[in-house]
Amino acid sequence: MLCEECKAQQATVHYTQVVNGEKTEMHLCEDCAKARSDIDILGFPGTGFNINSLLAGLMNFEHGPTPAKLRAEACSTCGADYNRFTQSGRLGCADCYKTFAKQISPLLKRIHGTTAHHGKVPSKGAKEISRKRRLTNLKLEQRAAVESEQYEKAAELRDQIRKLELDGQ
Amino acid sequence: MDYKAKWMEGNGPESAIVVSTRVRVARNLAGVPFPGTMNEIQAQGVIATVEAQQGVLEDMHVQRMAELSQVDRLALVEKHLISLDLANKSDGAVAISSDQAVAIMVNEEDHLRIQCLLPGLQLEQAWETASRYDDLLEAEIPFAFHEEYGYLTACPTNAGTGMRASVMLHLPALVGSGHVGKVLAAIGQFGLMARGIYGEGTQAVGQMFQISNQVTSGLPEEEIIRNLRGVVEQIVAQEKAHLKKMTATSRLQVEDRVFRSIGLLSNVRLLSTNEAMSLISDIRLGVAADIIDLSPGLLCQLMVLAQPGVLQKECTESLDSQQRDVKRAEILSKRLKQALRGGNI
Ligand SMILES: [Zn+2]
Ligand SMILES: [Zn+2]
Repeated sequence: MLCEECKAQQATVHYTQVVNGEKTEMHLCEDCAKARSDIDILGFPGTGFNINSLLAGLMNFEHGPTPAKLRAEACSTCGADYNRFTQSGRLGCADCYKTFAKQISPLLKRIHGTTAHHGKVPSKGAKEISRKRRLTNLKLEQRAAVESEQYEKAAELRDQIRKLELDGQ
Repeated sequence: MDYKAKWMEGNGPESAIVVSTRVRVARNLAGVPFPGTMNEIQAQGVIATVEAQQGVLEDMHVQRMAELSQVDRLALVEKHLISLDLANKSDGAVAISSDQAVAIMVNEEDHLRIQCLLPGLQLEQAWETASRYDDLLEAEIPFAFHEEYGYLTACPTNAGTGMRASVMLHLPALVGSGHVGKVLAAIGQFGLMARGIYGEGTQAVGQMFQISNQVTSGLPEEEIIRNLRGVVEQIVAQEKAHLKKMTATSRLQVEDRVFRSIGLLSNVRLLSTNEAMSLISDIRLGVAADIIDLSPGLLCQLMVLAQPGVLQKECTESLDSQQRDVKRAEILSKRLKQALRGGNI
C-alpha cells in the first residue's frame, strides 16, 4: 500500500483517528508520519481497520481501471470473477491463484517484495500419514462394495487404490 | 476463573511493557473454496472436518458460533481469542485449548486461523506452539499450497507463510515525551507495521500499540520472528529510557498520576470502559517505573474485566449501560483493593 500523503513510498504506519465522532484512517510512509507530530493515535479493538480491504484500492490505483474483459473473467473452480477480487481484495479459492496468475504474481511481488515462499512447507511425513489413512479408508470401502456386489464401484475404488499406492513409491 | 486466557496471566518476559504476544497461521483446506465464496454445506463440512480431529487436537474444545450466546461471543473477542468478524459469523467456530493459549478460528477469512497467545514477549514460543498445531492438523487435512507462492490464503497479503506475529506494547513514556510517532514510523524499514489500539469516542486511552510483520512471504517464519523481536526489544529499551528520564525529572508528578489513578479506581462508583482503560494504563505505568508493586497479570485481568461482554458474563442478570458502569466500578475496585491489601495476586 502506498503512502496517502506522498503517494510514492510504501505506507508502514497505520493510524485510526477519531475527531468529533468521525473516524478516519491514515496510511503513511515513515517520512510523512515523522513529519506529522500532531497525529493522535487511536484505534478500535477488532473493528474497522483491515489492511486487506485496502488492497482493492491499491490495484486500481496502480493500474488504472481494470479492462472490462478481465473484470468478467471468472475462476472455473469457484466461479468468482476478477471484478469481485478488485472490490473485496479476496480471492475465491486456491485455484484463483492460477486463474489470475498474470495479475496475482506482480501483486504478490509488490506486497511481499517477492513471489517466492521460503518458509515452512507441508511436511513429507504429514503427506504420508494422510496418504496411508486414505488408502485404509479406500480399502474398507472397496471391501464393502465387493460384499454388497457393487462390482463397478469396487473396480473404480481398486483403480484409486493403485494410483495412491504408486504415489507412495 | 472462566474469563482468564493464558496471556492474561501477565507473567512473561518484559511483561511490565509487553502485554502479550500473538502468532497466527492462516491455512485453507485444499479443494474447498475460501470462506467468502463457499456455500453453507461446505462451511458446515469445514467445521465437521475440524471436529473430526478432536483426537489429534488433544485438549481442545470446538464451539460453534451459532451455539454461543452473543455475550459469550463478545467475551471471546474481548479476551482476544476470536475476531469480531468471526463472532458475527453464524457458520464459524473456534477450537480453544484448555489453558486458553491456543485458539483456532474456523471459517473466518480463511478456513483455519491457528493462533497462540502468550503473556509478555514470547514470540518463539508462540510460533512453535502454533506451528505444532499446524503440523498436527496437516497430517490429517491437506492444505492449499502452491510450490512457488507457499500457503494460499483468501487475501494475497497473507500468502506464503500465512503467518502474522504481533506484540502488544504499553508505551506511556514514549507517548508522554512525544517520541512515539517517530519510533513507530521507523519500523517500516524492517517490514513491520504499527497500529494504535484500544479506545472509543474522541479521546486516546490505554496507550497500547500493536507491532506486527507486514510481509508474510520471502523469508522463513523464524527470520520474520527474529526481525520482529529485535525491533520490539529496541522499542522496549526506548520506553525504559524514557520512563527513567520521566521519573528522574518529575518523580512527584509521575507518582501523583499513578497514586491518583489507584485512588480513583479503588473508590469509583460509576466507571466507563474508557475511563477504566485510562486508569489501568496509569497504574501500569507505575508498575513499569517501579513506583508500585502490582502484578502485570492483575492489570491484564482488570483490562479485560473492564470490557462490556466479559463484565456481563460475570453477572447473572443482563445489565443496561448505567448498570454496567456501576458493576464495572464495583468489580474493578474490589479486585484492586484486594491486590493492594494482600500484596501481589
Ligand atoms: Zn509518504
Ligand atoms: Zn477460484
